[in-house]
Amino acid sequence: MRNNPVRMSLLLAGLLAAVPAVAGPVEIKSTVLAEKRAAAADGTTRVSLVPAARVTPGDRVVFQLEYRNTGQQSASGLVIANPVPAAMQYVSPAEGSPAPELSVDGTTFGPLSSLKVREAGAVRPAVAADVRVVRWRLAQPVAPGAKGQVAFRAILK
Amino acid sequence: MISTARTSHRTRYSLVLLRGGACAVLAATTTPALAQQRAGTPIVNIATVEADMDSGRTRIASNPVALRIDEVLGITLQASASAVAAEGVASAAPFVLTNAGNGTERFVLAATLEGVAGTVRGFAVDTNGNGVFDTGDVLLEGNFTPALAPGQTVRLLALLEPIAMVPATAALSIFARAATGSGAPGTTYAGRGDQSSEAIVGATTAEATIRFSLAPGAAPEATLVKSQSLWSPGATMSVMRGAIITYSLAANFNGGGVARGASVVDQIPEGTDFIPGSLTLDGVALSDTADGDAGSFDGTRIAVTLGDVAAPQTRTIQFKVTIE
Repeated sequence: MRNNPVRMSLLLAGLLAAVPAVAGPVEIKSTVLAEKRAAAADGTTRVSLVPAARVTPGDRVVFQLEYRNTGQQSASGLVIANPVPAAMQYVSPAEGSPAPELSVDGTTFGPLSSLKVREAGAVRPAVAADVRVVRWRLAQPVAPGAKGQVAFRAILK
Repeated sequence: MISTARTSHRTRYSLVLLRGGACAVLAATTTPALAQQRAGTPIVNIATVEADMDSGRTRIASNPVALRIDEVLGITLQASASAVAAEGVASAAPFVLTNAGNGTERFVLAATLEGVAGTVRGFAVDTNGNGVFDTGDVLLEGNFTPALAPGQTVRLLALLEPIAMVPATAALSIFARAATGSGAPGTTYAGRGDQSSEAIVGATTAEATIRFSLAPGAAPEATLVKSQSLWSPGATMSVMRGAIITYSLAANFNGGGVARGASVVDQIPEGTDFIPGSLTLDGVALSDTADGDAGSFDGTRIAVTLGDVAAPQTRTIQFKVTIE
């Protein structure tokens, strides 16, 4: 994976530096599913999600992030962040998931159209392949016992 | 997957200067700048959640979820010529093989002659990429290519021994497949990919066949050059009775290919007598009677049968006459 793991972990560290990590009443669980395409009898292609452990270049996967408030108090200001693994390219929010904010540097977040990439002294509009981190900021507090899920699609480069 | 020691695959360029201009020639192997994700690479995803709790701002990491990249087996095979002149000369069919998979892979080669009998000598890496088997080109052992990195290309030659006669329908078929395996896309070879990943046949089926038509080769150009030398019994080198003229006929076959059923016939000049037993081919004496050997003299002319002559070649016929 060349030096990408280093960059990924640095990004992760940068994201996390502000807040100490502790086990708490808010849980997050990460799952990855593969998009399996099958031709249906009516000529359309059905996409189903199946558990994935192995992928080959060009495969599409969905990263699902399930959060849950296991505590007694309401949790507010939830921010769910996911550095996109270096081998993967961000595609879109998954079906049924709100769209994440995107970042090409781990610092500035926004829709893809608002992002720029500095490259060889020039600035160009960002494309999906530039996305390094996705995040969701939840406007509503999460009540005790409540849970939710966000998800994004990615493709193996 | 391969079991041999790792070999170095640097992209090398050689610059060949040609008269009247410069021409960059790619070396035998090249690797494109962009490659697929390598087989065996692990991918780990960890998300985080931050929330405001009574205890303050809290950040929690998710479980790591891992994916492993399997090896896709893929190949592309491209002929660098459509036809090969194989008649009468050793020839080479040039082609380019690319590892279209995402793992390090060797490929197995096989060559089959169709519509003609002949011998495939083997395969070689065309080190300088000139399409000709020459010094520095390396014969492959066991018809395996070197291990190729994902996306890497190798220029190869299928080597043919000279073929006596090439019919119009003759062809050379070259089949190549990934050494790990090939077949229907999706076929899986468990644990045989790089770093013990699964090896999965990709859309290319990991095998390919190309065909070259075989050609008789360039038509040889034949020229006959006649010369003479005089031996005179007198004091002066004059054409006089009893003088002996030695005629030399140089049959030059140039270009390529094979001249079929070549023969040389020469009328002896009027006023001369053929000297029996003087007929030679390339310095070897021929009998004058029309018998088993190539030469004959029928009273007015000599005839020498050369048969099939592969160009370039020169056959030299000599005979002597005396002046009446």
